[in-house]
Amino acid sequence: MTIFGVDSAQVAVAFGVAASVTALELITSKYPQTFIFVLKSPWFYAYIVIYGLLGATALALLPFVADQVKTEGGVFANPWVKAALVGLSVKAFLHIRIVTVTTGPGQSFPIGLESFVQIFEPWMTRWIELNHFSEVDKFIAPRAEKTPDVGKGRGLAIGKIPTTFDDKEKTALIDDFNRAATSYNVISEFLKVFGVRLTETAFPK
Amino acid sequence: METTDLPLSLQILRTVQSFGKIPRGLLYQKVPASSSEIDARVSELADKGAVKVEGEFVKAE
Repeated sequence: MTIFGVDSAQVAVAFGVAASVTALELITSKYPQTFIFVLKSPWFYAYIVIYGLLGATALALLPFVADQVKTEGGVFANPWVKAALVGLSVKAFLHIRIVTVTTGPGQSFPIGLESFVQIFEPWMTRWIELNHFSEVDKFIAPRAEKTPDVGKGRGLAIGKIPTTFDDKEKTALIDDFNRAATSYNVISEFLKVFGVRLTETAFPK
Repeated sequence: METTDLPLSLQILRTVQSFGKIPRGLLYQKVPASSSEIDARVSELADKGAVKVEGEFVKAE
């Protein structure tokens, strides 16, 4: 089966690579320690499926712009490699901006291919962030209730800083824990640095 | 992980370490907190020997 003359299995590869790269980029850049909470958001899956579809569409439409885009020779000679490379590059390609128009104080709008992305991306990433916040809150709240005393919370957090941690970073972290006003804040700071598993050990429910 | 997601003192320390030596004005731009809050954290980190303050610069120890 072909789609616009491109093997559907290769289109599926472009879809899979584009979706995976998008998922990995979002997780590693914004939620490396708490990605488990992002995986519970339906918006996360919608977001990566959109980029997957854009990758698949880009590959399917490539033959129509073949006279403008030269993809012959070298690694591009292999259609599977071509499909994977299109999937890998579609997100970066769609973020090309030629100029940025300032629309107000602290607000701007990119002009270029990124204008298209602006139709859905800020809105979806906002929902992913809200879902993530809600899941983080569900994780922290019962632990903070079990350890309502901020002093005890700080002690638990400081006691669980891994011994392999650099002394200067340990000093900075202890300062952060000591400045946290509530037990909830101590757990929140601990979670940001050490992730879900160590937080569960330090602050069991 | 984006540095801006980290707790503030750790964020300041990592920013200073990534520059090696950073003017205070640039640190204010890099770290999303008020200058007075950053100053308080830098003082605390300097007192504990995690960073060194040299005039208008903050240096990694």
